[in-house]
Amino acid sequence: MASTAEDIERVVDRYGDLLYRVCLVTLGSESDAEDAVQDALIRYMRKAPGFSNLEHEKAWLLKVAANRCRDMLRSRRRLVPMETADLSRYAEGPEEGGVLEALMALPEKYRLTLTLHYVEGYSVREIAGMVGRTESAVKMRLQKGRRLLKEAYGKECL
Amino acid sequence: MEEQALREAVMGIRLSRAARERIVENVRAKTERQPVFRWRRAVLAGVAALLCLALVMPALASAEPTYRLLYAVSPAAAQFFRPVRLADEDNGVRMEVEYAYIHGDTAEICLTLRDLTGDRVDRTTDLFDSYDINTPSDLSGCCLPVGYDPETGTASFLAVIKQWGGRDVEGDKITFTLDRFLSHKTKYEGVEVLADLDGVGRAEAVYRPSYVSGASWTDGPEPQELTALVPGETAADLPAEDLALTGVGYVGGRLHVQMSMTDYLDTDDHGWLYLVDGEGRRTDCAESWQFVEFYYPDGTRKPDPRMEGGAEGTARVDYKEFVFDIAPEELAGCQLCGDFVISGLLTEGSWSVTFPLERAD
Repeated sequence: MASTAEDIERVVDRYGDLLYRVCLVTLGSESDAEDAVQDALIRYMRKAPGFSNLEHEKAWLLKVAANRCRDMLRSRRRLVPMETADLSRYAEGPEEGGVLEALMALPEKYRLTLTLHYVEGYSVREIAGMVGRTESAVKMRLQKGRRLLKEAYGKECL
Repeated sequence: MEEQALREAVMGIRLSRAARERIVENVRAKTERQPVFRWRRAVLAGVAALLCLALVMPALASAEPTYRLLYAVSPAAAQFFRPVRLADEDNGVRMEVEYAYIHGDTAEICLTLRDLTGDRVDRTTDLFDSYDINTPSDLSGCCLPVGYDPETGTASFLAVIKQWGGRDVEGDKITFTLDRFLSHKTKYEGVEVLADLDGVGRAEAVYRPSYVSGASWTDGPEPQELTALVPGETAADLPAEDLALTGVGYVGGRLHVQMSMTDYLDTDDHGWLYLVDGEGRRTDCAESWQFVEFYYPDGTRKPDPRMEGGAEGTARVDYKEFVFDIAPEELAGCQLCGDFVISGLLTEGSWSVTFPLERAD
């Protein structure tokens, strides 16, 4: 795998935002999310297998990033939760800010599953492969996550 | 909430220019190839050889703790174990068959797991039901944890395999495969689940689960059928998100307490509930049942989970129902408590080692 500066810039341009939003939603910390994206990209540059298409490449990177986030959550390294003011920097308006705040109030496993499904458009089966859980577990997470998000959003924003 | 609202909110998260530049620079610094000149290759080859030697020595040394663990478990058998040292690596985890002891119709195999990249392997590592032992002939086997060496981060297991019919296993080949393991388990004992059981009355709704996966009882004849509480939601303090108290109530004069496990097949998170009275006396259930339900995405329960091929398009929930022989008047002042085992981490991969079953003596 070549790893010129141009290659790195290309992959950061193509996947940087995607990986960052998944990592930030999962970890709830900007600096940790940045570290997780960086680690995923280092692994990509060093060890990425041959990809059949861009979707395959994207899914591989998401899986690596999700695993890295899980490792970081487990080790509880830093993980300073984000303040509301920090979150609002990513929101275009108060409504988006409220949704983000509600989302970040959920346990990590629901945040990641909801984001991969409703934001990134991955199917239950694809998410199960990425996060290393059964399809049943992913469905349960979606079901409960939807309910929790509705409760959190309703209380704080509606 | 509208899906669109969630999508728009999350899509607003983007890397800042400064973060992007830091990432590009750090990734470049850690991955860019350095040119290797011809004259340096010989030097590098020598260094590589030295490194190999240096790496082999600790590997040999690391076998010692495993052998010591074996000796602690079975000093009589440990002296007969012979080195095998065949390994497979996946997902940054190394599985190694270190020793084997073949005698008669039995093969005892000591294998180890070690995380090469982190601390996913710890002293609570459990192969769960995710290992498989393949041989050309009919064998039965089990695999038990032997111990953990904190210095090398190595968990050791002992697989004991017996040939059916008493025939010698010598000469066969065996393949030990593993596709996932659990670790970072935590035990919680004496957790107060419900502080107040006063006022628990007759269950409002009961039903007969059609897919009972297990039952145990303390004495008397085997119980024939479970009339279970219809799963609902009960506020309670349980130590894992995938465990929930889904019902408490009297059915036919007996107290039923029901707990759900939404991720049981992946986490093995489980618990045992019991009553503790005001003087600290513990009462265990007379019967416990385990059953399974499948739910459609809208939350409705599949009428019969055994039909239509089981779990397709549905989510599985395992339930444990504890049945106590205790009268309502005795329940006043009792607390519902529990002991739990919660897994912190599921690691998946594909590890496989094939080796001959050869008698070493």
